Amino acid sequence: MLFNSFEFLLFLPTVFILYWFVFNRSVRWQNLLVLLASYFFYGWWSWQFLILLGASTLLDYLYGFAVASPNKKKAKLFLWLSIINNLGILAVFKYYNFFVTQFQQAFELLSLHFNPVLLQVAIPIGISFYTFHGMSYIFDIYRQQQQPVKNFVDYAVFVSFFPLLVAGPIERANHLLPQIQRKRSFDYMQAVVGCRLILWGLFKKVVIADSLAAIADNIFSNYQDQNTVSLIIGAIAFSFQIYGDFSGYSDIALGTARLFGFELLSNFRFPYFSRDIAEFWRRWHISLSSWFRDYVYIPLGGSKQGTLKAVRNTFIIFLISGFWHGASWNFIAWGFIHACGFLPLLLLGRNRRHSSDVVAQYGKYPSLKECWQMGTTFAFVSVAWVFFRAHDMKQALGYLKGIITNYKQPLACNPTLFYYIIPLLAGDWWLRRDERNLKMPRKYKSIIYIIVAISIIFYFGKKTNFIYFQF
Amino acid sequence: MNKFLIKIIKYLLLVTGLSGLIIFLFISIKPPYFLGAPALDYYYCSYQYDQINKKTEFKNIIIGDSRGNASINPNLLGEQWVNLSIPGSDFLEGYITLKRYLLHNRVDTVVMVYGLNYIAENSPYFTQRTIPFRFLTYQELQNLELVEKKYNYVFHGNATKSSFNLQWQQFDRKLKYLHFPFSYRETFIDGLNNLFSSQTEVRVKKEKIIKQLRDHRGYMNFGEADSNNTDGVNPDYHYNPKPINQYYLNLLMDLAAEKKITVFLAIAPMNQASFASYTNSKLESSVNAYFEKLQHQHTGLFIVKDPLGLPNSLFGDPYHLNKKGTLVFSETIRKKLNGKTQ
Repeated sequence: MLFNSFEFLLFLPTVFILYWFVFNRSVRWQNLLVLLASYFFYGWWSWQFLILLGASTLLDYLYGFAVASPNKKKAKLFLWLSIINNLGILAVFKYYNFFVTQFQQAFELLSLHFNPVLLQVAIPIGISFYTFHGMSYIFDIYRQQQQPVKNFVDYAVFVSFFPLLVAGPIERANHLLPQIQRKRSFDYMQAVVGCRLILWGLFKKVVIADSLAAIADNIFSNYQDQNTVSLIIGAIAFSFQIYGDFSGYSDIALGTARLFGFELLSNFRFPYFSRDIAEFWRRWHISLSSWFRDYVYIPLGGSKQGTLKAVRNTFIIFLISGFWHGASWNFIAWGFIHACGFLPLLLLGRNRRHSSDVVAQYGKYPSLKECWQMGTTFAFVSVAWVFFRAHDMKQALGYLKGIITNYKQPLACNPTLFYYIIPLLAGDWWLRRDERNLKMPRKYKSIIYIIVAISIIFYFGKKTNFIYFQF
Repeated sequence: MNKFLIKIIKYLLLVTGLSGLIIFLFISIKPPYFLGAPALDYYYCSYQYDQINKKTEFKNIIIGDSRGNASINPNLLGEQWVNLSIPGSDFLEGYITLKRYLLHNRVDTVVMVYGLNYIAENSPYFTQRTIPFRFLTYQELQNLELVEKKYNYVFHGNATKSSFNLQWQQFDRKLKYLHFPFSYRETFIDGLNNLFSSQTEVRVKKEKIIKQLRDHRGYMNFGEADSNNTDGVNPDYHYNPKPINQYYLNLLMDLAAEKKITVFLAIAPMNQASFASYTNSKLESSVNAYFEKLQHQHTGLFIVKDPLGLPNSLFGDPYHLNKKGTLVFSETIRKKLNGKTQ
């Protein structure tokens, strides 16, 4: 079920009413309802893959007890079994075809030919997200930061809570599980903020991202015939499309969770106001980058074991991050480009320059220097997005080559791009210091909400998928 | 909790009401842009709708879809001819055209020109143009609903699973007919874009279209282009026109018999690629069977099936004849008329 569908518009209030009026006798009943609703939500897309979700949940639930064992050897053995199990699911459904094809091509270079059997199964929606939920739970138990959960329903809600089931944010057991286990009561302000987040998220997805998608899709699909300016516009359109799409999804997820008394991890903090790549990665898909930082980068030694290891670890997490998005070389290239952008900052010790403040922290407008920094960071990120958006390396390289060489072709760009980008940037700029409460200027608050809601009504109904569903 | 629910409900009612009001105002002020179809279609169809209700000196009329507009230039048939074809229409609109024209005029001959898919009740334009442009009166729409009830499906739709399903589809269509704002919600932004970005261009094109229709008595020139060879035919399609459109053909024939009107039905010609697909296909044999049955049923109907394939150089686009094609086809029809009516 999509957040931007009429089905969800019926589903959400129904579950909300049942949750607070019928199942409100105890937290157990509420959790059971959330679990059933989450499975219904997922099963709406494919009931067959519910079995995979259920099996993955059950296995990690059982591994949790074994990993918590005081016997270190046994704990480690089951930790590895759990990793193999989770990565195995990912490997089969998401990466098998990629690896087999790569092997086939490598063998063909040696004049050895074979016809591999490829899986003709769609990648289960949200597989990368729910397996990472399960893994974070096991890792936290192994590190003794989390006790195994006794109640299976509680654990299953943690893995499959419908707002975050298909595209995150990737939650941590020690953050979400305590919220699942404690009694929740209705909080008026939380619910109002939740509705605001849903509204803003829908606006970003339905009005902005879907409109920009039409521009970006048109340019990317005919990139050979486009001139330099059109190609640049296409790249900018996609940069804002993916931001509107994914951050819109995350806002709806956060808002929906708040309606049920949960507070999820933030996933975005105005990434296009970043002044360097390091800051960008503290603001873009935060739940994934912090997951890789905590469970991959730091266990590998982080930046504390010498420069060489820091460089190696940086490349490892960026490449894995790219590969996590999809089994394709262009995603790996996307990760590699970001690693190359991050590396100079790391080596110069400037990667934590903007870790606590936000652009124009005490003023209304950015300084010229900040404008330059934001502009160059955005340009760098947009070039990398070309690899992310392209179907393969050939298209990505052809697209970038076109930007340099196609300046003589006639201009055929669409200025409507800016109608969508300006409100997004204006909204983000206003909210940049307090993103979670979505406080609008009191004087214009009502009119802004009405305009946003009416725009959603006019644009609603296309039923376009969220980009991150494929991951 | 109650405070929250009341606030949400109030807010939803407010934004829903406001958005409905905005759409309603735009539809009322600029209907061509906000009824879900291209603005030019609205102007084109509306002009033809107006001609049907006028008292004129023309005693012979051409009825049909846009191919009817393109295929026959009434000037080439004689002084007493007018082309009342409506783009995207079929027998239902044809029957209503004749019925309304007869209110103010006498008719001797009707030539109907339709593409095969329009005869088969297989086009999207009834809901895209006829309903939103309100070609039918409310009474005619209600009559159609009764016919649909008899045949258990909505006109141009598929068989319905239940009477509720049929009623729901009719209700949905009626909302569209009544210009209920939310029936046009999904196309509102496109309408807004067109209104602000192409109003001048539309105005120029509209004037050109109206001038063409006015100066040539409803004939539409689809250009001078030639060699359009796109294949628009599915050779494996079993041709089996649906009953509601046939019902209206029967009404038309009954009315014509009552008023002693000679009726011709010509199939709009195809380009070479389409004709090649059509020839010796399952489609051709089922089309022939249908027309044999039709001829048997309406012995007074003159069916014109040739020329069905014409050279590509006579087409302005894959489906419509160009100026040269019109000359050829009009001449063919003229000869047939002379042969049959003398």
